[in-house]
Amino acid sequence: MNLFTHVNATTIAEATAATAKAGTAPIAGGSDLLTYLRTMCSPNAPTNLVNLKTVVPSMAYIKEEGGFLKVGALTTLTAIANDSTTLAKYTALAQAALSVASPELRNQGTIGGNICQKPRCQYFRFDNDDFKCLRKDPAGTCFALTGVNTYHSVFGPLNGCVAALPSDIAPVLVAMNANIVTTVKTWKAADFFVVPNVADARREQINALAAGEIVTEIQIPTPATGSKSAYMKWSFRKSIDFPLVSAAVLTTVAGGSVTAASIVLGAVYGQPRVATGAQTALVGQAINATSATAAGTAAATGTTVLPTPGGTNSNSYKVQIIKVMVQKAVLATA
Amino acid sequence: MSLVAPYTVVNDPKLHDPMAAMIVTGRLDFPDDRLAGRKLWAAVKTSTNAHGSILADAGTITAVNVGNAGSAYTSAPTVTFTGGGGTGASATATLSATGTISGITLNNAGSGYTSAPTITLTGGAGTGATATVAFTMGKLHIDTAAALAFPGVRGVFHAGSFPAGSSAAGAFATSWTNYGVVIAAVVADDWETARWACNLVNVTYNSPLPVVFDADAAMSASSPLSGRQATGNVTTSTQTRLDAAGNGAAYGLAHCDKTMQFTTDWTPTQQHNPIHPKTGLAYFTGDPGSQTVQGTGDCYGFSVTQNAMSHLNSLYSSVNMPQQQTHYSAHACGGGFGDGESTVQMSMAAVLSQALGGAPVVLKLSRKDHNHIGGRQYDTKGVFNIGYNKDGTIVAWQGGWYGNGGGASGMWYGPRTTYKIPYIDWTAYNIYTNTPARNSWRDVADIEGGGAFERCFDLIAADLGMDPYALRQKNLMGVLDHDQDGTKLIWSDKCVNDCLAQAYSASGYATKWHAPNTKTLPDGRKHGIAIGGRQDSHGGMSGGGRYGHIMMGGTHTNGSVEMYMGGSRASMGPQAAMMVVVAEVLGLPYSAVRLAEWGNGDITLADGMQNGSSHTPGAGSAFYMAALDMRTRIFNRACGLAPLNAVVPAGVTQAKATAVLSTVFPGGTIASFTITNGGSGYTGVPAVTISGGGGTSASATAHVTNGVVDSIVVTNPGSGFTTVPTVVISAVTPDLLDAANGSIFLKSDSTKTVTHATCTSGWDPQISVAQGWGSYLRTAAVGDSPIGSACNSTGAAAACIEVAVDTNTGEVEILSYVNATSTGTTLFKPGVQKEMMSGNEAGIGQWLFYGDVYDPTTAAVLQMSHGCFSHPTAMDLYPTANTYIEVQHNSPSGPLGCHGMAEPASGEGNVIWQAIYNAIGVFPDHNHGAGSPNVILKALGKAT
Ligand SMILES: Cc1cc2nc3c(=O)[nH]c(=O)nc-3n(C[C@H](O)[C@H](O)[C@H](O)COP(=O)(O)OP(=O)(O)OC[C@H]3O[C@@H](n4cnc5c(N)ncnc54)[C@H](O)[C@@H]3O)c2cc1C
Repeated sequence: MNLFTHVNATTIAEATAATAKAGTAPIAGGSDLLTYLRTMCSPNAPTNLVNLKTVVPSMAYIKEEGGFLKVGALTTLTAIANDSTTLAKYTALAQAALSVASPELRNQGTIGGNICQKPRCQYFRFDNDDFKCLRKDPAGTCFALTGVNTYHSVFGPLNGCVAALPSDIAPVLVAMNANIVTTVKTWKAADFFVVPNVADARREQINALAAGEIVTEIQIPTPATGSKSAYMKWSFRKSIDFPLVSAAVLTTVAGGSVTAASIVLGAVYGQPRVATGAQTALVGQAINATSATAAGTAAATGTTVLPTPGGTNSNSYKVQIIKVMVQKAVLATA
Repeated sequence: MSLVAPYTVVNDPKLHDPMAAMIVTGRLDFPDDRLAGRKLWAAVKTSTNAHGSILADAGTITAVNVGNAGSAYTSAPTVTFTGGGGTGASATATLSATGTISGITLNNAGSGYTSAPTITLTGGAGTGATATVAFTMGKLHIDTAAALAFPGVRGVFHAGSFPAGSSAAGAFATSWTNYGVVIAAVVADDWETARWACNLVNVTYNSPLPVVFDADAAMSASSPLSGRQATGNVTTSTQTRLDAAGNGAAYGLAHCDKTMQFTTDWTPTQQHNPIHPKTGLAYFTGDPGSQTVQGTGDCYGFSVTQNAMSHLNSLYSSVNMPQQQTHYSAHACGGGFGDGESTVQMSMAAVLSQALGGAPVVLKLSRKDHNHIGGRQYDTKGVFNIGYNKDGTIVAWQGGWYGNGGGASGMWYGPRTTYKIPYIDWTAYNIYTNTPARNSWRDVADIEGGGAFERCFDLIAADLGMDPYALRQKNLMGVLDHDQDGTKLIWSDKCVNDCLAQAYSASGYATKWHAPNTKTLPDGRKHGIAIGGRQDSHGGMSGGGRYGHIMMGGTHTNGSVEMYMGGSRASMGPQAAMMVVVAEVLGLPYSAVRLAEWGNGDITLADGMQNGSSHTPGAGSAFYMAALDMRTRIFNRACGLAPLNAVVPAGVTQAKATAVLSTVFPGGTIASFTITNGGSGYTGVPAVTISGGGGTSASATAHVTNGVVDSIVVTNPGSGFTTVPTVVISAVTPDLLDAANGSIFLKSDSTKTVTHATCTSGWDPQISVAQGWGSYLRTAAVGDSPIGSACNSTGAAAACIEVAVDTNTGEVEILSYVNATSTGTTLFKPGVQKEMMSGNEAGIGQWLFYGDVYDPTTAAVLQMSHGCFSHPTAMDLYPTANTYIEVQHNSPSGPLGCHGMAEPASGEGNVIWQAIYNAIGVFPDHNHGAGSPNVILKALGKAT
């Protein structure tokens, strides 16, 4: 375990002040952060933790208000998955929350932590920082590019790194055009999930949060009439697994055909990947097997299978799975 | 429970000696108050490349010592130095008048040696002489200053910290052929500090050699060497089965209807001991000595193990202490997919403790270190040429079994012992690459031999248009057939036939089987079904954590017995069953048995149990045997106590003896006994009671031959005797006694009783440690094999598995999974059922989810088959799909009809792969990786 200090913040102001100090990070459920610290995988690991769970008023809530579903950053994934309003109207979010890890981790893990988790590449996470990877050190190398990359990006490197987005929640927030409210500003999800360049000190992040900036709330616009959303996740195991391919889809149908479609892929690139071709293919069509298949095929264009060293398996299966997951998610919104 | 066991308890007598060094206790945290607040913690620094060595300054050869003087030399042999990295050393041997080597003079110490060179003595016409080099290691380029300066650090140690050639130095690598070997250890006030400070130890490596990663490439003549073998990367062994005329597989292949060539894929590798790394602890009381001078104090060690004896050995050899000054406690665990053993941890903790003046040191590996140091299973493939007749009879089998990391010959166990194959010509290729050290997990129920040979059977069946079950039936050895190769007679319980039959009928295979790739389900997925099974390579061993350990007497003065047991954290069932066994054997109420440990062999959170080779809750013979031993001891003591000591059974003449006191200073002890009357009619061993004379603690054991006491051996000379004590040899012997409900009584007169409480009062601590029955002697006649003859005793299992394969996603759903495992006589049903459940989980995990994944450039373990969240759990079972059948039979190899379940409880996971073949008509290629959906998509042409 990396050695660290720990303080309980009682107000968000206190938390903000504490996290402004260099080498400090907030801790929510700790399900990602503690595993990261325990492996001592990064030289950039925080040495001070500020506990957000003790902040009053609590940031764990779900409410519909002013045209949004407002979810406090400290809300657990279990609470989201079990919330009937979320399931009925913001279905993809509930489905994504339910798909994360295992019941124990969903009880512990929060939505804020989920969208701020670190990359899951095996080289990045390797104990004791044995692999000096690019995401940890700009002078480092992307080992996965030439090494084991079975679970990695099929849309090429992002800032030189081929790690795939690990978050189940992130593609849903982009697909549903969510706002991410922080102690500094309100972000659009699409702007939030922009991975900083490796030259930037925030290179380990999967989002563009500034140092010391804390997520306080997620706001999801209430979908227009005729809208439905769905989240499909594919992984080796159903019981507990990170996504290897996922698709978040929000469609609005009027008069029997799609008037708006938002299709976002997860776990196939370093950040949520908007499948614009698939969206275009779907708009104007009725949702059926043909249009869903066409959307799937469009979503899987432009892929690049990474070169595979002998004795390891390639990531090419992701191309096939993108097609099927998009197809299934589109059909689920019918 | 019947106490009549028609076999002899064959145990290592050392284990029954209360003075023996080994006490298998079972406390996870060492139960010694002396350690409170005094424990130091150690963590290790490991290599970060697969192939390297630490830069070192040259060392010095200080002397050459004769090991074996040899014989019949007529002239002095030539002394040659090889290896060690240096040049120029030379020495001359001198000859004694009797033709032995009397000494070796070092003429030139040479230069540039970084490790001790090896010495060979050639010529001189004699034989057997050996010599060793005394070597002082040069300074290793390990900078420990920053780690030592870190607050809380108490010491940093590496090979250079200890005398060259000592076992402590040898515990730390200076050159290596694997990622993650131990180079240094840091001892600190707490483990996190120790672990953190390991990062501050700076090691300068020599440039690593190229890593040999690919097992196929490693076999080519031009491959770089992995350094794992003295020469080359491959070792081989062979097995042939010839007919009476000496004809082998070539002949068989020429005399059959058809032949088929098979090259199977490289299967995944798996972890062997995947559960969280355990700690090892050691400390000294008194003078700990050093690596070169033995201490006068005592060394205490604690570890987690399924093999306590080997851990005890490694403890005293690691600290250069005599065995009787070394005390060892173990937390018993299983192996296989069960717990992590902690030999390395304990012996290294002992070395560190010794270096720190005897302070208690707990060594714990991080999960990464555990993953690299712990055992793994090799990836395997088969290249076969099989000859068969049109009716499905297998005639000849020629080919190679390939194991990356060794153990390939273990793979052939399954087909050899399950099926009749008249002509065999097999070569095992053990290939050594730089991926982490492997252990074989043999052939059992697993990806190795099973995966290789079962698929051949399915492919032959497809070629013949035959049902694969019918093909198996055609070739199965009969239950009473003789072992086809070994010296043993027939199998004690060749139960695989029964397992296959039961799996077959419970699954409905007869109506569900179809030719490969011919059935589509209404939802568009492909349906597949397959069956397979085999006799396992082990399963005779049994008992809770292999060793049964119980204790009476000492502080347990109320007649109670304490039991120490590993097992499963998730369930107390097996412990309860073993407690019942112990209580009934000793004639105690159940409440008088106390359990001093819980177990740690759970493979899963929910299902518990581990399905390794040793912990077999179905049997528990180790506790049965320990209890039998204790029964003899306490009955023997009862014979010497009133009123039993006054009873003279009919037909017995009571023996008499007198004690002889020692005349040797300081005196006051018993030197020997003089038998004045050997008595007669003894049917067992009487008690020898010593009283009076002013002394204490003396004890003795009588020996009886033909009903007569012919000697009395002093087991404790006692002390303080001023006059000759009174010696009474009982007329009653243990065989005349029985026990029930806390009382020991004469069988012929149950009013003559002594309570267990009376017996244990003032009794020295008695420890019975027994192994499960491991030497398989028949307890019942089977076929032409009489009682008492040797036999193979193994487990067996079969599975029938039905799957649905989604050809768009490669996803596999298990529709039904019938696991039929031979259990002998089941003692503890829920335990046995859970063992099988774990087997199904392991099967599913291995065949559908994750294998170990190594980095091709460093061979570091990037992903574990069973580590962290990749560990299969009960959540991976399709709850309604699983059927567990205990194939019960009265095993003739063990008392109570029990035997171990062994590893077949692992659920024959390879049958999943066969079922996938039946669904899609092709066997997917693991390519060393996981059996996950991506490789199924590849087989379907939907991924590359
Ligand atoms: C075995 C395992 C399986 C997993 N499987 C999945 C999976 O399938 N899908 C998936 O998406 N995730 C998975 N995870 C990752 C993780 O558990 C979840 O993403 C979880 O939601 C993280 O939330 P947390 O509250 O525990 O975050 P923490 O661990 O507390 O924090 C994670 C990161 O976010 C930062 N952070 C936390 N809260 C805030 C905030 N309000 N503002 C700014 N920064 C913040 C922390 O500083 C830290 O860097 C898995 C983790 C494990 C260990």
